[in-house]
Amino acid sequence: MRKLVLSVLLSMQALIAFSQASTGLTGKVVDAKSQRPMQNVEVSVANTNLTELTNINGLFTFKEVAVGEQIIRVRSTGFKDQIIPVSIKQGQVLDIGMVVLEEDITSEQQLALITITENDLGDDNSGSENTAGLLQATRDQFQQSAAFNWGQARFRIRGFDNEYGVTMINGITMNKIYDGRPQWSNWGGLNDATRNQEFTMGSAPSDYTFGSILGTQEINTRASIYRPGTRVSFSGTNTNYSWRTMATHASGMDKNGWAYVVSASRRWAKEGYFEGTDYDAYSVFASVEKRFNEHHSLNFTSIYARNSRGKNSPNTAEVNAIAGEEYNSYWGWQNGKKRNSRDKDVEEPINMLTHYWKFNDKTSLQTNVAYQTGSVGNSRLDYQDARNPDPTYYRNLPSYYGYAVGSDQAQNTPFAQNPQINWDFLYFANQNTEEGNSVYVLYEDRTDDTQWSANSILNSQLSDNIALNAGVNFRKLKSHNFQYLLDFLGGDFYKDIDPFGTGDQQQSDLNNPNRIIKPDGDRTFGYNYNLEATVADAFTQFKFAYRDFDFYLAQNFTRTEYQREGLYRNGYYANNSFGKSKSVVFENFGFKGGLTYKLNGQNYFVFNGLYMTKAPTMRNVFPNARLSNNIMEEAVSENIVSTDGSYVIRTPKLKARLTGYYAKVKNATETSFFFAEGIFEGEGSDETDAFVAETVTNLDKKYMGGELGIEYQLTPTIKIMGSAAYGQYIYDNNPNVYLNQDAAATPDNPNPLVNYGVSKMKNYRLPGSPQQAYSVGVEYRDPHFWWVGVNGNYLADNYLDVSPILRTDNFFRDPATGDSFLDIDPARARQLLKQEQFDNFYLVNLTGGKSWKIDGTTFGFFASINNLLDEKYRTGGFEQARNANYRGLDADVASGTPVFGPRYFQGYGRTYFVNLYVQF
Amino acid sequence: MKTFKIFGFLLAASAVLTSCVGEDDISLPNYAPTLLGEDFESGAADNTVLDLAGWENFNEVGTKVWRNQIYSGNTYAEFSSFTNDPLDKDPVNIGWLISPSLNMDAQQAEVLSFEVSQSYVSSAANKLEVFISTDYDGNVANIGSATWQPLTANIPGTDATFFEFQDSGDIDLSGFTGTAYLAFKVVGSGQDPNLDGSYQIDNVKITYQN
Repeated sequence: MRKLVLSVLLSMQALIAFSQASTGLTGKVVDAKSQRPMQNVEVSVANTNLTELTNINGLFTFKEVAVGEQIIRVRSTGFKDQIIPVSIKQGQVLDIGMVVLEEDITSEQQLALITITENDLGDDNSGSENTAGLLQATRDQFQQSAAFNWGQARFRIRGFDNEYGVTMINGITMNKIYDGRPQWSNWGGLNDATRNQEFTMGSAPSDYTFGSILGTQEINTRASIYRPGTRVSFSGTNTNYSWRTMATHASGMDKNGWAYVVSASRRWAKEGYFEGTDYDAYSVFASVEKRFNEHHSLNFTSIYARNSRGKNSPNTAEVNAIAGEEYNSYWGWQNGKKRNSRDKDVEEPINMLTHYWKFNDKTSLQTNVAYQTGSVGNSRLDYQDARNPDPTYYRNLPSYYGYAVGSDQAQNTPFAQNPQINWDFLYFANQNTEEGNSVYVLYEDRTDDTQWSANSILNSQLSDNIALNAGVNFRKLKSHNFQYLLDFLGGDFYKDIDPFGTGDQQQSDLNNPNRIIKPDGDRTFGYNYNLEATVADAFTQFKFAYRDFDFYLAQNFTRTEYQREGLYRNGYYANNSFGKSKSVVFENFGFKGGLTYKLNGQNYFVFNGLYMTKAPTMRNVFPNARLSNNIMEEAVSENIVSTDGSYVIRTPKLKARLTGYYAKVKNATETSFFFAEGIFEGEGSDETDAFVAETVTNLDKKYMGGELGIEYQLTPTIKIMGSAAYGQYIYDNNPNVYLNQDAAATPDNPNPLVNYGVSKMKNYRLPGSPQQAYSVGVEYRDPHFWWVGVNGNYLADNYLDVSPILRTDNFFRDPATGDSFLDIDPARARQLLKQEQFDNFYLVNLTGGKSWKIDGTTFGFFASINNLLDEKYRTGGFEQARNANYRGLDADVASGTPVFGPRYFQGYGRTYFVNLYVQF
Repeated sequence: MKTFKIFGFLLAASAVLTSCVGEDDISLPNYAPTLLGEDFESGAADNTVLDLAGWENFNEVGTKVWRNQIYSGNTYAEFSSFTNDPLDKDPVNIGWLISPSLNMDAQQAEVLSFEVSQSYVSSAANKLEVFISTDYDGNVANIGSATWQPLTANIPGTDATFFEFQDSGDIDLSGFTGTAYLAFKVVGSGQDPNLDGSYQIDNVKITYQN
């Protein structure tokens, strides 16, 4: 055992064996720990369709391999991939000897990672999660730092939102059509079952899709490629959830050609890291494959994940100063239990049938049909002609009364007296109304999606030097969106009216006016509509491999069609809310290419370039989808340009990558919803306050910077690592701002958009990620199967999300006169509009693990402590656009504790993750 | 090989360093810049003596001065000769409201506008006049020796609706240079019922082009 080489590098002796006619290679795969042969390990020749599974003796053999330099890839679930460059000679079968596979400890780390990034960052109810994109385990040192060390601080690679990445299961795109982001909860908790993943970074080529500018992630669920065996694990943590248990069994391919994998997990917490955040998730996975013959296999995959969790609130500095960093305004005591009013429930099972068709050793075709249906619900409280139940409502806070935080008077404000939701009061109020109706109810914004997807991916080695990937994809979505009443909170019924409107405006559905919602009846109310989308795309990609140069060219075409269908005739929009909207079609294309120059076997230069257009998401095309069929005509396709260049060095001891990148997104559209005061002209608060949808159009964003990742094997047991990211992500122009004002809708003006003109956004920083990050770490791996690692990180340049409306000319316009304020001090205005930069901070993380092997059974544990020093920091936040003019903001800020100060998200303090597992 | 390395570093470095923006590379939203802007929203109480930084509130004749008045949340400046107290009625009132000094050389195309209304004005002799002076030294003792050029503004006449603000119209000040002062002057009488009306002004501003 001792003499076993435990380093990342495999030990191999390349022996050349002569054989009569074949040109190929052979080898044997063994487990690093047991030295036993490993069966069903996937071995493939890169850029070809040559794939073999090892036999019971761990042996594999390829015949008919093209002569020349080839890359052999060996992989098995839970083990580190091995990449072996070989030189194939005519008429020889190369024996590459023993391939030693080592257990992949990062896959344990992966579990810890997902728990800390699974969280909403934003105050909206979009179905998907805004987690740091594509933060997953890869071999790349920079990406590992980005995932494991910086992920908790919400670092985004190159500053890109994950709508610029493509996440796939078996080549089927899992990004939601509504907002372009993947819904990770759909397969959350199934870490074992989704462990076969392939990644590409930036615009580098993927075999499955044209991709975008962040990268791609492809999860492969083919049953026969899972390593046979059973694995049971149990984990404890103090992040989103407290406990997780998971069991997985994979059969391997039997002699009749059947293989199956089953996995199940449960994760739960009575209360997670933040107050009142409960967590409850079940996940089940099954995949069955039948191999009919050498050419045909069918695989059926079923994924069911149900996730319910309580959310935590973004808070103003004032609220955090009074109630603490872990404060959450969304919960309240009820019958001795903490009840959260903002739950997110996700239940969208996926079923997928895959046909693998191997024409010959050079060409294969994979075809999938997938069906996904289910619901996403985000709950919250609604109230009618009653006091706002939010404990942090601005009139409850000391700042509203002008009291300083910590003063005696502040102790008597409603917030200090009762900082949580008062469920008992809500029940009391509902039980004492004149008519018996609820004035407070708990409802959810529901999205019930049904989507059919189909794709076909062709893979062909056209010649020794040229490979082709091609694919067609089709997706058809019907998304039913409505408000659903969950709990009458002690009242008998609820009136489905909008008390802010007058006359017909109060009606959510003129076809069925003055509806009464009862517990035993239809509980749909408020809004009710379908969004339908059909997306078809096709791509081709040619890859050329030569001695000194590799290059590729790819192109795609996408057609996207959106339509809204109103199921209610809304009172504000009597003539343009019921029935179908006109359909909106976008046609988009993309080109990309890249070049790798191999200076020698250890030094490479890599260049990638991409140009593409991207359809706006449905969220932006129908900014007022809840109430009307109105289409934002200015929501046009984005133009995206991206380029990067890297220098890569790979020696036995040193691995490093240095990359410079530049990307530009033009003509982007962004929609957000908020309650604004002082937004519309007119005197008196009734006219100037409004709930509005803000759409920003013609927005340009620029991303540029450098990345560095280095790892150095100091001794066979000690490795040192370093990573650095320096970027600048900015708004690159002054976009247009529109507000939708429902109250202004009339039959003559069915689309009450108010054009606020240009917003001076240019050169403000993009929010959502630190723009600088640095990491140094050291790892010790003992030959006795234990290891420890420590790393220190510095994160800087993270900025507040600025409000576009605050930076339009409206900011200086006096609502009383319609002209500019008379007392504008440009220096003061600059101060007020300066973008807040969050404090920079340090994070120290510890990881370690050990495993034992007893009679073929592996026992192991993994443990990590993140943010060891318990550093308090902000991961994000946004300006409230309520007092949206110079005078209001000036007065609010001058008070010291602004009533409408920015709201912030807090990072986790010290957290731990412990995982115990058994594998047999 | 070495040159390639250097090339790679330069590529990365140049991508980062070209057109890096600093924190203050932002522009403010557009607004009409004002050389003078006064909406009288000083926070002073209703019916108190007007006392604004930089402004001179001078009673050349009589005891009455300009006062803050608040109606429906809006504060404005008012000069009135009228009083109920028979002992307090002046035979003649002349009240000046003089602006802070204005540098007329730092910008171009200055335009004055303000809002004005009257109440109980029944005679043309009970008048509000607007002046500008470029030789006044800022000392009220020398108000009489300075040259005050009248400006033509749309001042409400005797038949105007009481307390209804009207726009003065745009008054071109581009011909003036040097240091100038703007003055609102009301002449009336507390003892003559035909001359004891009031004038109200608000939102005095001088805009210009950058």
